[in-house]
Amino acid sequence: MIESAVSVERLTKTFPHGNQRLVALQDVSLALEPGELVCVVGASGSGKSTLLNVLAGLEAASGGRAEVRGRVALMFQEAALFPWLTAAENVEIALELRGVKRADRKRHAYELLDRVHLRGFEKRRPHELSGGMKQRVALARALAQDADVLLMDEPFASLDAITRDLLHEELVRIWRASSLTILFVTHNAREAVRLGDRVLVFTSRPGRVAQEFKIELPRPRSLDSPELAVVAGRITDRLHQEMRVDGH
Amino acid sequence: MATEAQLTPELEELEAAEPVEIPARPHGVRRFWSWLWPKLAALVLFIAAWQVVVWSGWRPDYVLPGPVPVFQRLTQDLSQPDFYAGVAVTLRRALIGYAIAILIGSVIGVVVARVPIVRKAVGHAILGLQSMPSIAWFPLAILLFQATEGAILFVVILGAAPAVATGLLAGIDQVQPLLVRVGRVLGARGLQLYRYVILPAALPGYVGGLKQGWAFAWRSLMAGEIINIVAHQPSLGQQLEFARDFADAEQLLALMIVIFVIGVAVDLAFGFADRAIRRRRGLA
Repeated sequence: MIESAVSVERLTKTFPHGNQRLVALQDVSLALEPGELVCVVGASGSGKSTLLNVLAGLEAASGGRAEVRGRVALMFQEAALFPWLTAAENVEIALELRGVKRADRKRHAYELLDRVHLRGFEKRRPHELSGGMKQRVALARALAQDADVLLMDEPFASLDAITRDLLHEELVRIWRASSLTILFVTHNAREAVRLGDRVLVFTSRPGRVAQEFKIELPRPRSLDSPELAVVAGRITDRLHQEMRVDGH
Repeated sequence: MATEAQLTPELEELEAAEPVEIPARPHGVRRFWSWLWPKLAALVLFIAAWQVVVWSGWRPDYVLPGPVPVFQRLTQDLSQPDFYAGVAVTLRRALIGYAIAILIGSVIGVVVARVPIVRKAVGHAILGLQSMPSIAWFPLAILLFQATEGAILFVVILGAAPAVATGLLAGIDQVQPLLVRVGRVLGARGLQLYRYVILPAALPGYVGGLKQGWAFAWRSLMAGEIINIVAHQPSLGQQLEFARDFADAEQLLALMIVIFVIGVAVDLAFGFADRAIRRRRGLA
């Protein structure tokens, strides 16, 4: 039996809210095998981001267990690049904090930017880059962490459809060429089906895994293919069902 | 997976064509001129107004001389070694006092930002100190240090340090929490977070504080040099006070011009630094 890359067991996370406690996650259990790409779909407020924050070690669990085997990287909806650094320096800082020697950093950063198709943009500053390019730099920075597990919190949600489609392609290409395990959070069922080996549907308040869909569609997948739309439709129905139960 | 990328070359081009166009900056000389001429115009207007007041006979020549004799005197001063000795003494005090103020202000700024109880205790007091007129410190400074340079530095530091601390504190408070989270995800902890994320992100606010700190330091220094004459130290403030004692109005105004020009020059340098930082970050 293979040891899971990500294992979450009966994870509960509550936040103080006035004089009561808000339950963001309740008894969440899931496991990712090494090299898997799993998407989590849920309405906003379903605790998806909280799950990633706990896995990344930014927040402590209130109960249960959440473990990542190996190094973990996290990408946010905003690229959140350091505006005082160039694209290459933004990547280099991740290398530096990981302990890569000074002499190797620049070459390594340029290679990573090349991998996300940003050759020639190494010396640009974040404000000189488009939204899609910023997310590419953020992806290169996450790759620079040499993580075993990449957590992605709606990283492409604020991009236009064309740019997002391109980045889906890049992500799948990079993922298949590596041994990365990816947990990708989104509120978009089609995006989830486009990317994931499996899709987990999250309920809202408290967040729980309501259903798991195994996506058997062959790769490369197209967002516009009818087969993908059918699967995404089933997931959307399931999401609506959850939201009705929740009284939305 | 190269084929996947090749499927959509036209999309790749779309994406590649998207970067923000950086507008070409106007030619250097023209830019400099468009920056300079309004200032020159203001200067000419000011000198003209000064001359008109002198011609009006509002005050006799020996109390309020016109621009021509004052600039003649200034030119004369500029060939005197004594004058440069005075400027050197004043600048040395300014630099020492300001440097110590930066050190103290920065440490206080970081401590107040980092320790909530310290912020509650002295956060408001630091703001209050900023509005305390520095000249009000002099009687105490003279009691503590007598007629020495120590008294002057004491007041310069008290004048400048709160502004530096406040600027750094404001800069740190304005750092986007998301950037700090990114720093933590990248593995920065404790002081590393400050070195790699918080302090660089706080730099614009810090430079603002440094600039204001300089203004306070310079004012406090002039007040100090006029009130507290240190023997055998012919500082600018002291020369100014002597000019008044000897009713040498031309020398007095010439020195005031020097004091003004030094203040403006430093302020300009801060302005350039501030703009350069903002431009790099896409804030300007």
